[in-house]
Amino acid sequence: MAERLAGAAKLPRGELQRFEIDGFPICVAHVESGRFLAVADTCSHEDQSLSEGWLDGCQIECPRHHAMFSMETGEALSYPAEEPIETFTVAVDGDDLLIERGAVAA
Amino acid sequence: MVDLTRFDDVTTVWRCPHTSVQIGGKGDEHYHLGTVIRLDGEEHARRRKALGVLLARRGHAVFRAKWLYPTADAALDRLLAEAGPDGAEIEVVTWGRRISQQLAAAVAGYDAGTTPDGASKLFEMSQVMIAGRPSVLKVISGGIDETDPAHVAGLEAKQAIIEMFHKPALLRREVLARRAEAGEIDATDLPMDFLMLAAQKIDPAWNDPTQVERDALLLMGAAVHTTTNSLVWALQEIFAWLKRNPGRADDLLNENFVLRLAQESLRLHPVVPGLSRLAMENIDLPSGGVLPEGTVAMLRSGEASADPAIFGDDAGEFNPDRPSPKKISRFGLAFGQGTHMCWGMPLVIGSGGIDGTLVYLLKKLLDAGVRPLDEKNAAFDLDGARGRHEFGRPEYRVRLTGKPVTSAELATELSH
Repeated sequence: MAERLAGAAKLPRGELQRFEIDGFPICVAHVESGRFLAVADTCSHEDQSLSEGWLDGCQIECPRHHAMFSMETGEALSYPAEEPIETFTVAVDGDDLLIERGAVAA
Repeated sequence: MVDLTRFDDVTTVWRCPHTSVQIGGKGDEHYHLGTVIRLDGEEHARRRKALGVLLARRGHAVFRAKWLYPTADAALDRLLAEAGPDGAEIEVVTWGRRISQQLAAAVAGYDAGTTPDGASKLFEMSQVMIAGRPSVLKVISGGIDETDPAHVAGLEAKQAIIEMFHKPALLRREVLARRAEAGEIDATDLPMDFLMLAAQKIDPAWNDPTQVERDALLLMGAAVHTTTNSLVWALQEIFAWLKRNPGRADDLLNENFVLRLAQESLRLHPVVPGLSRLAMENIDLPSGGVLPEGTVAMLRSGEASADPAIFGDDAGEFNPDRPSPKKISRFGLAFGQGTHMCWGMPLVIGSGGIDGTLVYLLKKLLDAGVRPLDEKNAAFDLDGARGRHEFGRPEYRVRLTGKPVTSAELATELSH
């Protein structure tokens, strides 16, 4: 079932923001192409918020040890992350985003 | 102090949130106090994030394009231009240190240290400083002797580095920061180095000029011996491996294979004897013991990275074809683990490994046909040096022929 993040679609392009759904932190990105992507906010390597990191295309870089993840698949793309992160399906509804739990990359 | 050498015990302590790196004391105020290696919790996270700009993808791309490639290429081109009919002979330890010092100066923002001559001068001075810098053991035990000539000379060298390299570079960047703030120059045109971040006070701790000095000196010094020693170990292992596998010389043209060679060498040859952590509460160890609260654990990354329980019965042997244990890096614990994992790791191994300093330098040397000058190098027990910290050779001579060695040439060389 989709959860509504009110006003989240106003996030400027190229930026990241942390939200919580039932206490679960997620990171939403508004990538340059205009799409919204969402992943679990906690790096799979260490307890670090990914939304404090950097967005590079559709990839997100953890600010602590620079692990890279795909925001489309959740796949860990570089050292030192070994495990993927969960992704979320995102739909736009006016100024809001509808978030649904997706999958964890294999 | 308790020594830990098992992979599971070492990683348990490294990843445990109930440990601290604040193992400072008298003597630390000159060098490490308040730096990223002495911070815990939120302060540590904030500092890593502030410094992380230099290592994030864009920062690393700038470092590679502006510093790593031109510095390494120029150093090699100079050698090959002066080569005789038998190629160019170099002493890799000195050569590697000068390049590493230039690169470290670039990361720190020490402009005058980014040329070969400036780097030589900076290296000389930093050696005196490092020789006088108290070890963790001395700081923990309160054993600092402020009248010790090495300690005094170290502080004098530190001050000389600050006057000659640090202050002029910081002043320049403070002017640039004000101009950027006034809109006179674009922020993207600012230097991408530590002193620029400090001049902009990205971390509030950098309002303290002595903290800026300690942070800069830490960055400036941390990458020189570590990178150089890793380079020399990797070369020795590659040559030994080639002797055992002369038919695979062409594999050295494959940068992904060179990465495996580098990773396996890093696993077996740690650049520090160990790293210390203070237990803030009792920590249960997988080996069955307990690390009592208040104890300092010395985490022996070299021994742990050669743990047969993780890497197999041949864990102490050099094998670049070794299958990687699940969820464990090929380089083992070379960069530590946990929240204080080596800050410089992205610079050394890059994002995917092949675009970092170590592999780039190795590739440049291998592409230039690097071969050992065994007749000029002292005998050395490489087998006995694996899986623990050793200071390594004080010098190591090689020859560059100008083109990669082929399997046929190698077979001929080894048959003589």
